[in-house]
Amino acid sequence: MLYRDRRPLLVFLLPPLVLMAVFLYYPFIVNIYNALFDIKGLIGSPGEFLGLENFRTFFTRDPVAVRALRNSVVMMPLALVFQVGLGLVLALMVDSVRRGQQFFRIVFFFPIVISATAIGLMFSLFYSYEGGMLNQLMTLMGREKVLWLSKERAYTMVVIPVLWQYVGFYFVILLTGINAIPEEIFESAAMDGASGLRRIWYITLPLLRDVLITCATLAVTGAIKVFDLPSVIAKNGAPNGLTHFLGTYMHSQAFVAQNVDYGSAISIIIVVLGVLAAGLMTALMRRGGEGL
Amino acid sequence: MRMRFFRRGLPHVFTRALIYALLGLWALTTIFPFVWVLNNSFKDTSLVVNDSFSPALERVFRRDRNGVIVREEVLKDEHGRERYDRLLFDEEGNPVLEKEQGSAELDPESPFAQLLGQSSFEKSRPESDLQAYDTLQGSRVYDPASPAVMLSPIWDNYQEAFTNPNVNILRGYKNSLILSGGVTLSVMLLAAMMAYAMTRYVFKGKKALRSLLVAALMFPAFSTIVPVYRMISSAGLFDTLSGVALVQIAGNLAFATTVMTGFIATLPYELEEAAFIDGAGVFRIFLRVILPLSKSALATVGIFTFIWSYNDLFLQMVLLRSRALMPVSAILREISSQYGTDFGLMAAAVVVVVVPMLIVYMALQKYIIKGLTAGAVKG
Repeated sequence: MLYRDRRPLLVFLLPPLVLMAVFLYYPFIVNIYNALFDIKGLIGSPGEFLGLENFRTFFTRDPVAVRALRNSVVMMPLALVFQVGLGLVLALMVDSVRRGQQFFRIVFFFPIVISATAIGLMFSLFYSYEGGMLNQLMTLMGREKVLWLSKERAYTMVVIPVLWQYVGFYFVILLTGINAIPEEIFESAAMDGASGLRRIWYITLPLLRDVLITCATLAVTGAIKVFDLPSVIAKNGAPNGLTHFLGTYMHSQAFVAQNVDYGSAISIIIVVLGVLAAGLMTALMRRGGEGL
Repeated sequence: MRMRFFRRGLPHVFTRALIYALLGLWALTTIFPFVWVLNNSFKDTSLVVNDSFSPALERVFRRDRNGVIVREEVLKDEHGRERYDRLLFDEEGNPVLEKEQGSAELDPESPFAQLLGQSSFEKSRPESDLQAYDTLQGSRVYDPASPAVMLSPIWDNYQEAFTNPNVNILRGYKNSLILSGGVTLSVMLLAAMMAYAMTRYVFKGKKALRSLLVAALMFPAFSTIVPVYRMISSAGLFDTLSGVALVQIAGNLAFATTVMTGFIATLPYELEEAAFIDGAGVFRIFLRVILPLSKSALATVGIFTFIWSYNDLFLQMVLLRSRALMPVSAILREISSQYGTDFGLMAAAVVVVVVPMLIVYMALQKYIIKGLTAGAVKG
């Protein structure tokens, strides 16, 4: 019949697959290889075999790397609580009101469509010591100006816009999930006398489990890929590399310091961490689900 | 909708008020920053720095004790002490010069004009030239709480954003449109092709291909960038938009194909069979039956690819060097490193980049949200 002749298959599959092979699968493998050899300079070829030396350096001899790792790992629970958690709370609230659903949907989603670079620029205007918005607020309230990107505060201040930007994303996904729950379930629950928070706890949340798993996975894997905002707000991990994330540190090692092998090793750590986090999320949520 | 609502139980009036208050609060956090930036994009940097909350629909001046329209600038002298400069204006908001008092004309070479345009405090200003400007030490010209004199907003920041050869956002737009437009169209077509083949044909290695696609979703750009950079360079594509485009297309295909496969799998075979019986070949069927039927899924894939490509900074940073080729995201980053103290320009640049995205979003938001849920909830 129509699809028995398989020759067209080649025409359909070859172009996309060649592109992906050349720019995705092949470099992914070469990257692993690169991490195991000594490579200096962006166009240098692999020299001496180092084995896992780069990884050893990362974990034991490089405080900035450990800091970047910590920053990225801490970002994961923060993303879960503030992006997915807040998104869920907002979705439940919007679902419970009659008017303005559409308005909140549009407005909460704003920050997602806007590039992280623009948001980074905006927040630099807020955080600036001289004449930044926050310090003008402080002055208006009669308080001392604050160095917002100081050593103690910088990480928090860089993380805030990252978290803020994505709340709306999970909010929209979760709200759609809630709207998809069949009406009869709520009706029968109402007849049984369940209302308010009990209904949310015993009906909405369990039925939302799959969507929540998706959101949680997206949030933790997204947390590891953070790049644009920190690279605009706190350039090169300023101050003192304290705000480096794995992504920004990888970029500065591979493309600024040109420690190509080391940068490749960091990128592998990013992948491993991503896979682990996604797996962990799925496992945790599945187990939690059985108890309900 | 209303029935549904009542069946779920109406929250208590007080609870409802609280819910609206909290929702409003969050809406404020997403709206206020943009309003603040928009407002300040119409202000001179000196005003942004000192008084960023006043509305810039109009320029803000105040009258000093003698009733002259002035604007105050707080400067610091070499000892860090505050010094107040006062700029004089006529009733239309034009700076007043000693030589041509009341004239609206302003010599562009005059230090005064430069002061207004760039407001860099360090510039030397021969005071003999200006009556409009005099320095007071340690005491304010006017009480900042005194009523403001409103004059028209300024467009200087926008002019700067569009004409400064180092910034030139207009060119950035052009580059973004070429890059992201090309990437989007290619991804839509290639993903549809792959999805069509994967749902309609039976072939060896289909399972493996599916796993490969899932795996590709887990590859962050970081993990491929070094070899990609080398290949692009040796192919002579470094610092070209096509180089960035190729990598972006490859990076988006896995996601796009996943969405398209889910959709095309739901299309009924009957239409294809009918077309086949009428003598159409596979390619004709793909172009004339499958693509038109997949419009909504294609829209989703297209919108997401476009947003992603437009906003992607990492690849642009690594694979482009010359300013002339930079899309808007990369230009924004350049601005923040080079003109980080020119708040007016920065605010205008943010507005210029954000507004088109907001317009597109408002126009297409139904598709965006539908696509988001199709991609995320089902996937």
